[in-house]
Amino acid sequence: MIRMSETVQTQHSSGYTPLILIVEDNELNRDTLRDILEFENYRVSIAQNGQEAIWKTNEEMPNLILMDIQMPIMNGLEATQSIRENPRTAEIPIIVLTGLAMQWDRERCLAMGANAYLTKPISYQTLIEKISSFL
Amino acid sequence: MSDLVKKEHTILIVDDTPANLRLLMTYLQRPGFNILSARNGQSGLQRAQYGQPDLILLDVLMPGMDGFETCRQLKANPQTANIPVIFMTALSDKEYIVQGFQAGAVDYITKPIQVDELWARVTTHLRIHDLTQHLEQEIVARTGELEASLTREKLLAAELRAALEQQRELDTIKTQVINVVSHEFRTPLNIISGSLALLREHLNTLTLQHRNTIFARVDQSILYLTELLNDAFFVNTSHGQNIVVQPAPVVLPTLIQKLLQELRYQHNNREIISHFHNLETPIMVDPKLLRHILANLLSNALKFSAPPDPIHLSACLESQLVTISIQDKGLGIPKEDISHVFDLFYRGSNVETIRGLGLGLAITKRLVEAMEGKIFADYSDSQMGSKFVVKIPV
Repeated sequence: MIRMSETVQTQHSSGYTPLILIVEDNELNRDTLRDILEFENYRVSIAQNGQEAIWKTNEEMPNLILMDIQMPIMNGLEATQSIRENPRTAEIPIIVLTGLAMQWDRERCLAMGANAYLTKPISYQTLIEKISSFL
Repeated sequence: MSDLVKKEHTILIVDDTPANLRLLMTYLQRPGFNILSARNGQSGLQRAQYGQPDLILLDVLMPGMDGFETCRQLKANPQTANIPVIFMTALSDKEYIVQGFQAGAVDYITKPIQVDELWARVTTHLRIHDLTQHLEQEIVARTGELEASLTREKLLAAELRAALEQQRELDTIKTQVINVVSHEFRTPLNIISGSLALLREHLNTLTLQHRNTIFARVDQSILYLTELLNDAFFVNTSHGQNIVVQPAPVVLPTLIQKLLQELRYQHNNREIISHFHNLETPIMVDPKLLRHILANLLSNALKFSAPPDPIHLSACLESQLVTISIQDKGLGIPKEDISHVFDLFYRGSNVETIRGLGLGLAITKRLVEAMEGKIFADYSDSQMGSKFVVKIPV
């Protein structure tokens, strides 16, 4: 998939360029989120499933994680729980992005340690505001 | 006489004394009465069996088989058991009367015979016998009617149960479709909404190439949503109903080439190699259903394999049977999934990140069966991706 290469990275007000880990199994959705975040001057890293998310979180120590829930190999709930259990990564903000829209799902995600829960389709504005509230 | 239910009666008289026999016959020989006679117990049994009398007058004391034994044998034979028996005995033989009843008689008459008494007893028992027979026939008829109506009700109940079961199954499927679709819809909607936001916020900074990439994501998402809707709609409307098949003359290579052209356009000019044999003349098939079947199988082949590997389609006509096979060099079907590939909502254990409802093959199979055809996956070469074969009679 062709992705943006011309993005000019400007520094955030806090003086650094935060790294956001996108955990999403759908390639098109991943690319769209990456474009949006890069336009907002974030650095972006990608994981395709929960297992990769744990590994990349530990390796790259992102400033924030956008986590899909329904993924193959390991789902977002398990990954969230595992990231919380590791003292090194326990404090990284996690925003869950999901197609599950039931109240019960929201409560379960928050109980597992997610900081926020957004239901797809997510508005550009809401996403950016939610992210910046944690950074 | 008017008391009797039947118009014709047969009476069997069994007596070894010719004088008694004659007397009784003379007396009972009246209109509507048919008299049979026997001179001993053995021939009395035979007459009773073949003449089927309505009443038997039976002498007690006879040489050879006596009246009691004759009566017991009459009662033991189902064909004569219901014929009423009246004993004829001398007034002094008091203990014989009891024995006679024990042997199965309905009444007795004392010798010397009084004709008025004889007539009264004979007509009374004929009347009872007539009424009993009539009642029994009624009971048989009514029982038959009741059984018939019970059977009808049982059949109706079974039909209702089956209909209810089908309705429940349909409800479950509809709920599943709604659940899966509502979840599967959200990701493509997210792509479309995100892409629109990107275009709106950054239209001027986006390069032409980048814009086209975003447009392609929207196109693909819309295509996917449309497929989801088509599949869900199809399952919803066709389940439990018959698919209408409308055959028309079709030149198969033309229909397939047109479909391939559309698919190549939608899938970045993926290579699809087609081969036709003996299909130049039109055949009678439903073009819409066939197109739907092939589109489903080809989309699967495109979805589960990657460029530059080509997809192979071959079609041939042989003895009134069109065989179409579609083969890719993609993921293939794991052994443990083989028996489930045509199930509703079933997705292979190896498809991982490839999106889908798991409806495509289930729908395809229903369509093929509606056309009285067969579809199967060919696993002869599991290293070579998936191969599906469709056979349809024409």
